[in-house]
Amino acid sequence: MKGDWEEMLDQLEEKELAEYLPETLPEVDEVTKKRIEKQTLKKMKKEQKRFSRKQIAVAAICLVAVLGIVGREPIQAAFERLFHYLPGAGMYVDEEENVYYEAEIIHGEFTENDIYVQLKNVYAENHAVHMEVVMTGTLLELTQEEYEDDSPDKYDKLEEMYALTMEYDGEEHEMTAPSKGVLTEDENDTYMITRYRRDYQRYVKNVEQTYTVHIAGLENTLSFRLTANTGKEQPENIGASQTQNDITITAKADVTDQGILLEYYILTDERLPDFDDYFTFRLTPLPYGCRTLDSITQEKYQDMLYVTNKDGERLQYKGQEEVENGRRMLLEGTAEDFPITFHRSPLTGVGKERETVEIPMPESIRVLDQTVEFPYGTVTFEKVKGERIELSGQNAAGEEIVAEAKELEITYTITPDEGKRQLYGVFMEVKGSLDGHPKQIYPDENGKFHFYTLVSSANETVTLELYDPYYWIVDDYTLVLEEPESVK
Amino acid sequence: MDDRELLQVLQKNPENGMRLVMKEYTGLCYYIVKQKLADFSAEEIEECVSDVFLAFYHQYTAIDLERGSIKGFLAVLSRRKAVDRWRKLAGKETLPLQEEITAADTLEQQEDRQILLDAVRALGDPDGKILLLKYYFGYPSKMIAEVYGLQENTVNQKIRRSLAKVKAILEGGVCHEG
Repeated sequence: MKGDWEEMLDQLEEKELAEYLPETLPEVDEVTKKRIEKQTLKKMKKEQKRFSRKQIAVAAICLVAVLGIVGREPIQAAFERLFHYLPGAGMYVDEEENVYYEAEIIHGEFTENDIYVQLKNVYAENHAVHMEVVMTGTLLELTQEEYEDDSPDKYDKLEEMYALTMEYDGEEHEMTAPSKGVLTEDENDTYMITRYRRDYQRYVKNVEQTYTVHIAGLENTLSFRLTANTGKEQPENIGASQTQNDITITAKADVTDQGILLEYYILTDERLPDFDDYFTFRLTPLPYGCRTLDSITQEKYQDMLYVTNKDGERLQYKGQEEVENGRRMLLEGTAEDFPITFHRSPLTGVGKERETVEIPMPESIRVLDQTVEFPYGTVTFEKVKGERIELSGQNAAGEEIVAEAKELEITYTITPDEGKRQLYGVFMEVKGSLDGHPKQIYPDENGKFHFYTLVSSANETVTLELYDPYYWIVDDYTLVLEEPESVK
Repeated sequence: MDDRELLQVLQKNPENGMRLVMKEYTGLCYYIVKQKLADFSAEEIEECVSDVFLAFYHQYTAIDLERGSIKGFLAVLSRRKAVDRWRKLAGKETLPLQEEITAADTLEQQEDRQILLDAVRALGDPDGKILLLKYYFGYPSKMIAEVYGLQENTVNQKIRRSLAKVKAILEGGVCHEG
C-alpha cells in the first residue's frame, strides 16, 4: 500500500499542491548549499558554451532589432506615461458580460523628498479595482542583519512609514497590499531599500468615480477616474481591419503630443509566439522565406512590421508596449502624415501536435528513411551519426568520475506543404537524453537541420519526440488608416 | 524579493537570478529529494537537487504567476526529478522530466489524485498538512513540531494515525477514529 500512496503523491500537480505548500522553508547547511550551487552553475555554464556562433549571431540580430525599436530611456518613460490604459484592450470580447472600467489618470506620478511615486496598471473588472503603486528613491536603510536575514520586519517598517489610503465614496479608506516587493541595494556596507512596489485590489460598489491615493509622509497625491468601457473598443470596432486565412488584424491610430500612437490586435484561435510568453525565450519567428540563418538580415526583421506615411516613408519607432493579442506603438509623426499604412508580413503560428519517432542507434553512421507528417509539412530523417565519448566530471564529493555515452547528430529536412500555412521548424527532444534542453534549430545552407544530443551508449534505439511545429501563415497584411481617431 | 521580481532578475541576469533562487529554495528542494531518495547516498541527493535547479533554469519561463508560484513549481520539479532518479538508480524504467510534466493525464490518474486529495483533506487541519510536510516535502518530524508548536512525539503519533486513515480510505474502506 505504501508504494501506491507514494506513487499517487508523485503524480500531484502544482495546483493541487498549492494549499499544502509550507510557509516556513527548511534550510540546509551552508556547505551543502554552496556545493549544490556550484554544481548547478557549472552545469549552466557548460550548456551555455554549446551555443553555436550562428545562434549567437541570430540573437544579436534580434537584439539590434528590438533595441532599435525600444530605444532611449527618456522617450521610453514618456511613452509609459501615455499608457495608463486598461491592460488587455484586445480582450474586450466577453461572453460572460463582465464590465470593464478604464482608468483616466489625473495625477499619475510625482517626486517629493527625492522619492519618485508612480501609479500603474489601474483598471477595474466588475467591482474589483486594481492598481499598482511604485516608489523609487532612498526609502529605508537596513541594518546588515535585516539585510542578510531578509527580515519580514522590513515590510512592516515600510508599511508604517508609507501607509497608503485611498479616498473614494467620500471617505478615506486604509489599504493593504496583498502583493508587494522591494529592491534592496548594497553599497559600501550600507543597505538601502530603493524600490517599493505594492499591488492593490479593492472591492468598490460604485466603481465609476474619482479615486485619490494618499501616502503617509508625502504631501502630493495620486488620482484617477474609472469609467465603464462601453465596448467602443471591441477589437472589430477598433479601426481598419483585414481578414485573411481566418486571422483578423485590426488597427487604429491617433495623434498625441508625443507622436502617433498606433495600436493593433491580431484576432485568431491559433497560437502565435509573438503573444505567448511561453515562447518568448524559445522561439524567434523568422521573416517569411528565411530558412537559413545566413538569409536573415536586420532589414528583413524590420520588414516584418512597419508603418508608412502618405508619402510612403517609414515612420520611426519611439517606443512600444505589448498588450494582450496586440501591441501599442508610439511613432514619430503628426496629423500631416495621414493617411498612414500599417504593414505586417506573414505571421508565425505554432501547432499543438506532438509526434514520436523511433530511430536505430548507429554504430557510427546510419542512413534513415523515416518521415513524420505534420498538418503543414513533413519532417524527413536522413541519417544519424553516433560517436562514442567519455564523460568526465566530479561528483558531489569532488571525486573524478568517468562514464561512457554516445553523441548523436541527427540530420533531417523539412518539406512545407503547398498552401497558406507552411511548416518551417519543429522542436525535438530525445527520451532519456543526458543533456541540454529543446532549442530552435536553423537549417544549414543546404536546407538540412542537425539535431545534436547525448544518450547512454547502452540504448538500442533512440526515441524522438517532435512537438510545437511552427509554420508561416503566408499573407501580408496592409491596413490603411485614413485619419487620426480623434478627427473621426 | 517576490516571485515577479525574481523572475525579472532571472531574465535580465540568469546567473544572479539562479543564485537568488538557490539561496531561497535549496532547503525546500533538498528535503523533497531526500524524502524520495532516502535509500541513496548524499551525493546522489545533491546531484539530483542541482538537476532540479538546472531544469528550473530551462523551464522558468513557463511559470504562470497568476496560477502558481516559484515555490510550487520547484516543489513539483523536485519530486518529479527525484522520482526519475529513483527509477534510474533502482533500475526501473525512466522517463524524461519534460514528458512527465507535459503528458496529458489519464482519467484514472486524475481520479486517483482526487481520491488522494479528498483523503488528505478529510484529515482536517493541521493533520493533512502535517502528512504532506512529512511525505511530500520530507520535513523531519522535529521540524514539523517546531512549525506547529507541538511535541515531536505528538507529531509522530499524528503522522502514524493520519497515514493509517488515508490508507484505509484509499483501500476503499470507511475510516473510523482509532
